[in-house]
Amino acid sequence: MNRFFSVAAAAAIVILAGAATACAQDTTSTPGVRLGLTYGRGTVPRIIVLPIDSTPGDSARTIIQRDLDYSDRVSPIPLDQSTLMGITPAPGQPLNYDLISKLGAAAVIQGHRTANGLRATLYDVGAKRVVQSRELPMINVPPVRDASIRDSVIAATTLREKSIRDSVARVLRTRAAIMRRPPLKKDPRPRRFVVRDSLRRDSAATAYIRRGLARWDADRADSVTAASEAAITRLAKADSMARKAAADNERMSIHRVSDEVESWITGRRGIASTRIAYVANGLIRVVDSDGENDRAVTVRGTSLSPAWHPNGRRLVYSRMSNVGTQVIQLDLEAGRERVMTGNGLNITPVYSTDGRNILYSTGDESGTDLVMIPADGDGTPVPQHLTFGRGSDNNSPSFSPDGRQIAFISGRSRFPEVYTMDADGANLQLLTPFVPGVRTYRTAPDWSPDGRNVAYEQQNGDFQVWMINLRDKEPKRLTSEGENEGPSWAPDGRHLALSSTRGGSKQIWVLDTESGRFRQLTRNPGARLAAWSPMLTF
Amino acid sequence: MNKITRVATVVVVSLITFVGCHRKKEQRPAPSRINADSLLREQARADSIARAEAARAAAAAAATAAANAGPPTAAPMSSVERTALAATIYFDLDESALTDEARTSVEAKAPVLLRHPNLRIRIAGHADAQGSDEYNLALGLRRAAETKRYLAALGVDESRMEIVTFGEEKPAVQGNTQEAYALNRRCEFEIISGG
Repeated sequence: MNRFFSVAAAAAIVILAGAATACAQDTTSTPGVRLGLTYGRGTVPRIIVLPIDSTPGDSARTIIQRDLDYSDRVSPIPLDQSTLMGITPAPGQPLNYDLISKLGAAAVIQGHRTANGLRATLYDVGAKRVVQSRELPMINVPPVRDASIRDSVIAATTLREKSIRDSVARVLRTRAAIMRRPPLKKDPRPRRFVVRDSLRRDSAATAYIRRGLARWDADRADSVTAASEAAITRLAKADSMARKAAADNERMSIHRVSDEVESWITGRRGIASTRIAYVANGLIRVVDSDGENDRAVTVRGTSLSPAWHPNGRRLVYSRMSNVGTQVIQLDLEAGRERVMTGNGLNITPVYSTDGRNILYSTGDESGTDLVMIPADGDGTPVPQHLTFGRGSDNNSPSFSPDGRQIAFISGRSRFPEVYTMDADGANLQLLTPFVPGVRTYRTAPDWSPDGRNVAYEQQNGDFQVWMINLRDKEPKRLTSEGENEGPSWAPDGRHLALSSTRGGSKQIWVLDTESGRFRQLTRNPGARLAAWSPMLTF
Repeated sequence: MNKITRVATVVVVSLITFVGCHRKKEQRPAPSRINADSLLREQARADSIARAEAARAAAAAAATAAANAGPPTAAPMSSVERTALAATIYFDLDESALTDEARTSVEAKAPVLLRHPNLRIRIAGHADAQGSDEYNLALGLRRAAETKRYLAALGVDESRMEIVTFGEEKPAVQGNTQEAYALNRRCEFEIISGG
């Protein structure tokens, strides 16, 4: 009996311990669970990011610190290199909490490179303890291999050429052996003549071999050099492309470290591992959330209105030509395009929340209406009408995050206003209040990923970005400096990408709707029509 | 004969529409609440009255255009005709309705098209740089469609006219001044074939 009890108790303890471990693991990866960093509610905790490695500039640290700064949820303390080195503990030593507390930091983040990634550690300065420490995957860019490529190509070529030359020499030697043979089995002439002829034949045969090999070498040398140079160039190019892709992926993997660390501090994942698509000079471009890695993803034409597939691997946009505007899907990884519509006017495409359909606006002589087509499948899809505007404009749709509703603009009441309807086109509602007969102009709605707000642009003399809360229908003006247009929500439902002339030329800026902080994202005059990606997990 | 019948039909249809609207107006109480439905009803009524009036005016203009055109000819266009046909028309801010000036310009184009039955044209609608780039595409299309509709009302066969919109993507004049905006809110006319 007693024994049974003790066994049961031991089992219970083991189970409990196991559960506790499991719990601890779960909470670390669940967003929204605070692990207990102590800082005042409603304040932005100040943090310090310690050096990660000793490379000049320490790019990983720079990226993480900037990501955390751009999150607007924590505030990194800028410190010079010597101060940073001074507060970084030697391996195995504890952090000097008192010293760091004097610098005003609530938390410290430290990273160590490991074989497969980065071990990140979060210290709570107030409680003087480690809150979280975990190895996070990070992609490492392989070193430049140009020299070793040259060496190995030349080594391989030399080896192959040597064996070919050997066989050529063998053939020449066989022929030379025939040349050396005396013409008669028994030469009746005096011996000295026989010897002289034999010596002549021998030197002729030797010269034959030498000449043959020299000619072979001369003929062969140029083409061998050309071939191996071509091989070196080809391999070096492939290598540099692989390195470039790895560098892009490395940046993204560091952004993911930032997002994870942010969830340890604030309980919410950051939005650093995202990209923003936009239009400049008629091309669709994509830029990382921190403004780096800006590149064009289309090569020609006047393209407009990019929108992301929920998996982040595809874009849909519209391209204008002299005879009309078509909706086009672009596979970002393969670089493949698929034209989804005929000519005529086909604009403002977006993917449905599940990514299966494309909703866009198609125009004819009686105005524009919203229609839906499947995103995949063969043949030319038949569009299904969701609005019947009867001569008015209906475009710029944006799905609610649950996929059940659509916000869009319509000019059915003469001036463009933001409306909502169910995903099947029923239950039409006017979202933005206005006075009939008074000229208003509201366009470009974007439904926030948390479902609470719709951002849009409105004309008040010039154009400014507003948002309206869906619960109390209270519009709130967000911008005033310069002209601000085309808002697009970040996955956190807090930041907006928009085009603004506040810095002179029209550029994409990021606005934190809670603090009002602006930062410039692009350096391309005329940048517009921003679209913020979902979280990128690859 | 054919033309007269067509004109007469337009007049009769427009009268019916007009009278029909009038009757509805008496029956419906004034909307007390502003919502999507009441706004749409209000707008639909205003639109149908405007359409009826426009149709009446167009019928008269069509008769004039037909009279001005004279008999169809295979001769090439004169430079005067070419200029009249190619003349750009301009619009008010965020409007697709033709101004009086634009109407006069379009009325000068109709006889050219009627006289040269092989001519096919493309009407390109444009908008100024103000406002949403996407909405401006739709606005450009409405401007082109409105122009095409008016030419059709003046007797030009619809199959001879294509419409296209460039939104604010191809401004005639660069710059962010009111003057530039006014010159960019326009429809351009391009001969596709037969000219």
